[in-house]
Amino acid sequence: MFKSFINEIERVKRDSIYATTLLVLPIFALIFFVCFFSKSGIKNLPIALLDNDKSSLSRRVADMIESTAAVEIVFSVESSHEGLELILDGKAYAVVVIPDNFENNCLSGNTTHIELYNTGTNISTNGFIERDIQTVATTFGAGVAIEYLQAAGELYNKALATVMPIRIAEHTLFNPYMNYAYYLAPCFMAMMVVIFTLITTIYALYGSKITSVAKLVATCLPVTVTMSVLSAIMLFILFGVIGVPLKGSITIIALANAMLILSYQAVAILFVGISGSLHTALSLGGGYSVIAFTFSGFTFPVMAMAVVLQIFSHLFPFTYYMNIFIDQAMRGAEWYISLSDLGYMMLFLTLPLFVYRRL
Amino acid sequence: MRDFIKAFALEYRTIFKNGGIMIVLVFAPLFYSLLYSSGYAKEVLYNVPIAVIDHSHTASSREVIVRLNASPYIYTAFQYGDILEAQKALMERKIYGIVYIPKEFEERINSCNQAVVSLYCDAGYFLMYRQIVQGATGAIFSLNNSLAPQLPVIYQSHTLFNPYLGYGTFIMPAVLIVILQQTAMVAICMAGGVWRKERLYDRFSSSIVVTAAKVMVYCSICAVIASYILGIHYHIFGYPMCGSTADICGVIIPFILSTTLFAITLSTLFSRAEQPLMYLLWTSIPILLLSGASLPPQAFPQWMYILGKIFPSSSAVEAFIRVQTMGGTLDNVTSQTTTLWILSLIYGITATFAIKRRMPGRTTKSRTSNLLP
Repeated sequence: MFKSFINEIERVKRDSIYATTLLVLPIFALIFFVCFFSKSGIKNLPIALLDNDKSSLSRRVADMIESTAAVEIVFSVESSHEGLELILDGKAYAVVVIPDNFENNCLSGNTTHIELYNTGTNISTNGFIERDIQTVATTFGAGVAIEYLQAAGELYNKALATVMPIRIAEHTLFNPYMNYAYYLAPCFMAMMVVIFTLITTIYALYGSKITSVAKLVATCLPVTVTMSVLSAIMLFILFGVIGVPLKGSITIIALANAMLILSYQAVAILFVGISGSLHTALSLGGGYSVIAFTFSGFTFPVMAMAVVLQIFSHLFPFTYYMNIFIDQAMRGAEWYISLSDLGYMMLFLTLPLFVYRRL
Repeated sequence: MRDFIKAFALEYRTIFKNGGIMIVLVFAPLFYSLLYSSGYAKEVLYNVPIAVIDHSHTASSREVIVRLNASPYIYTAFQYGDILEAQKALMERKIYGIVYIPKEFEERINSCNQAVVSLYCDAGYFLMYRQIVQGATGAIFSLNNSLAPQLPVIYQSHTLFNPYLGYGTFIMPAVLIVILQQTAMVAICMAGGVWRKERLYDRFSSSIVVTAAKVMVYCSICAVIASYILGIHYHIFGYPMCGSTADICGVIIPFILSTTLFAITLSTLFSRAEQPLMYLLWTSIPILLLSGASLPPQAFPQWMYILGKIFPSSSAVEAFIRVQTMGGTLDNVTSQTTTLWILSLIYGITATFAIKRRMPGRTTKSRTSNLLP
């Protein structure tokens, strides 16, 4: 087996396609994601303001919007049509409208409003803009009402309770800074490990004559070792460079990484076993690896998918890997919580048994 | 003209003879678009399970629970006696949020003091987090409205182009454009690998003719696939179709043309048909990210956003969303369509030169100048 392994290493040196997919491209992919997630958080999303009142109170609202984290007023427009054109031109993400007589209504105790026109075409920017403008509008409205009651002789606390009898104290668990990089970087980087493991293992198996189990293991081993090293670098980048929280067990995460690589190698063996050609195996492997992202439920939860797709989502080791990663890295779960997910991943290791004779 | 027809026929033969190319060029875009869209078909996440810890046990606290359950986004799956039990359920993924109502809740409301309800949200999954916050704040807001006088300033939010904030409506237009580009790119490069391996370039003398024939072949196939996606797929999944056909064509035509020419340029670098799948598959996610459709350009380095413009999908995604989803016109996307036409021109020149390098007379040089292994 050791001799076969050495032969495989020699093959990596000789075969530049193998070497490129095994070493060069994965490193390039990791560098890409490090650069991509180097900017922390979503800030200064450009929006337009249609201030129909142009009063000191409406300017106060504008100042409050300017001081929010995510939003920046880049355009002052004179009509809603002008605002809509800015949105359609891609220059502004939203338009905030302050109506006529805003100040007069506020001061005379009449009801007025602050309106936000959001596009909805990007859920992440939409959420950040909505959150900030709603906070400004609610805080401003409550402030005006409290001032009004205080002017009538009410104490601040009583005025506050009158205006807002119940306050909601929000505690964000597991990703307190609401950092998108913490959320997306682990998923995308692990996805790269999956793609390269699957593709490279298929290629390695096609270039080698499998005569025994030892030969099969030796053929897969260079990919296993290289991807293990790469995934260790990935973990260092995630926790050490990007700053993803690590609240649980790094041992379980390392085990999950190893299982991710081994399970996708087992899937690669299955595809080689059932495919007639390298092209077909690569096409199958490519399709299978890429769709795992959607069906991991990471961006759109599996619970919201149709039942048949919920079952389908269990056919990807990546789904279990992401469960483990979130549990251990971000949620700080006890180690035994992840054992069932690790167990499911281990089931994939039996796949080669079904096709071994066809290799 | 004879050479053009010969190259045209040869390219079609290469595609139909090679099952792998057919799978990637024709079946993969149909399969991917169907599968991804099916995954996001329900669009909106409803009924996220949460737990309530009610230490107040009063009519007011029960009213909070009723209003939480009235929200379409969340429902009270469990009621626990203490926070430890709820935390355990959170870790076991039985629930994704906890609402804690303290003992003095009603007492404080009745004594004209502000009462506080605590909300603990799992932000490990952003969409779950958003629905819980939206559901819980909406419930408390409606309760406040029934208890307190109307605030002088009412906040009104209008979502213009995706009113229910559907996930598929948000991400699929961009994904479909990237699918079109990536499958065409890999397939064209695979065919390029076959051309080099079987020395098909040697049969021609004019690179312009070969480039034109290849462009015709792939533009015709991509146009059929794009028509299916825009005409049938869009209808099946109910994505917004606000753009006029002429404006959509004004975006899609330069996109397909630039993608084809870009891919033809790259295709001359591959000497084997399996290389493109192995080398280009991973690029789909980075290319989608660089378009700014998932994360806005403000969230990643500007140089990467600018560099991303070398891919036709980056400009096409922006333009397509603004025309098809938002109902803009070509006037609103002039900068993107201009970029696509400029890319077509540049990649037209590079494709012609790249093919020329593989032609007879340049063979000695070309065979020793494989840029890729």
